[in-house]
Amino acid sequence: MSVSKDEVFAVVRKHLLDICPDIDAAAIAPGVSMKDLGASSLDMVEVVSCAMRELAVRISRQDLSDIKDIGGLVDRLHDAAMTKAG
Amino acid sequence: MAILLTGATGSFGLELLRSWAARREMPDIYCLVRAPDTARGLARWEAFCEVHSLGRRFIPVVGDIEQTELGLSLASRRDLQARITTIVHAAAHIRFDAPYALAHAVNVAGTARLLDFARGCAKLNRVCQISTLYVAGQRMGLVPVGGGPDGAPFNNSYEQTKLEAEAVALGSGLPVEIVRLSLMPGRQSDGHVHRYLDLHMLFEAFGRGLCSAVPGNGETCLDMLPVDYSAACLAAHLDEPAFTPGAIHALAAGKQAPSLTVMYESIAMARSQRGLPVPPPPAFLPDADYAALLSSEEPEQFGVSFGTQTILRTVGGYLAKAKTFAPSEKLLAFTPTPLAEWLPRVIGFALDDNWGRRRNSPARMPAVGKMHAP
Repeated sequence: MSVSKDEVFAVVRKHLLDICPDIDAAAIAPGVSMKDLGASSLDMVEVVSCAMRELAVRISRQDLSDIKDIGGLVDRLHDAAMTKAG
Repeated sequence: MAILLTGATGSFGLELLRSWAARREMPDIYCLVRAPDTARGLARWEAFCEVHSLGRRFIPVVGDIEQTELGLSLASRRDLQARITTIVHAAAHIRFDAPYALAHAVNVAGTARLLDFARGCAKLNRVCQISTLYVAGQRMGLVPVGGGPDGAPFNNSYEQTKLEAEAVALGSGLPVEIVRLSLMPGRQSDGHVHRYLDLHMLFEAFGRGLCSAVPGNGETCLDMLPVDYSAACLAAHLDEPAFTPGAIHALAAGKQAPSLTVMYESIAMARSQRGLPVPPPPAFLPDADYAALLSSEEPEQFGVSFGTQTILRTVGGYLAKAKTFAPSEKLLAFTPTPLAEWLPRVIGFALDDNWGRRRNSPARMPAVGKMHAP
């Protein structure tokens, strides 16, 4: 089953707001980092892990370590989902 | 004495600078500062010194161990090489989740470049390579001073590349000594945390009830020391002109290392003092159950959040593979503040700092496990 980037973004956004409910939802955008939005390192790991679980993909922390912003994360998750979908 | 310090803006480098800055007289300290260009490097350095009240006694040198010739012009390099008598190499890629190639580029290839620079220092008499006790990897039991993994695998690329860097330094033919440091989550003086890393994430997860089960048992110890204490010990060690080239030292807590029970109590105390909920003590998992936790698609069944499971995959080995490091007694120049005082101070600082979040209100994430009332 394929998934669009918009859908992946929505998954990330949902988990970010679940885990950090006091973040300004309107400020969540591809060019913004979770850190800039006020997430701690642990929050970020939780968001990424929960998004991976919902999308049924696995990416190692090593392969995520160079990601700069939410858009980069969405791209990486989308690539993994598309690869899995074959 | 003229010292070239790499890693000056890191946690340990900062404390070394603070230790030197507190002295009436100190050696000339040249600090290698990484930046895209000289102007931004000097601006970065000025801001760093301002924030940390370091004054203007240190000399910035804009360069980078990841670049050929450290990114220095020929004239700058030669000028520096003519002055330096001691090199303290504290720069490193310290993230546990770094891909091996990235960690290698900084920790091994960067060390090799710095040693190439050192060979051109006519007055050089000492290279102090900062390393980590945890080059011992997943080895268990007593780790003697200078001991390696002894065939055990590494927990992460950081440990592996730091051991490789030690080998490069010791094989360089230069007057090198290795000083292995413990885990250093913060300062004993005021609890200050310079950077939040995996260990802090585990502390935060503990406190928020996201990590209700851990490997090991209540008596499992994790070697850690305050970063300002470790820096003061190293500064005192560097004051001693006599040293043994090729020596490996261990700035370790040894038998004073805190147990998981003590760490839990420190977290509980710091949270309780702030009126925050206190999680119950974690369950301690035998090896088979811990392996099941790591591979589970539903780690919440163990009282561990999905994200914390990810963190445990990187750092859980530090708890699961219990070890005690023998310290180099002569480097422990001072008596550290008892852990029961300094670790709650560090946790308290992190709580007040909201674990580095750029906002004021504490995160309110639903806990996985049960929470005690404050």
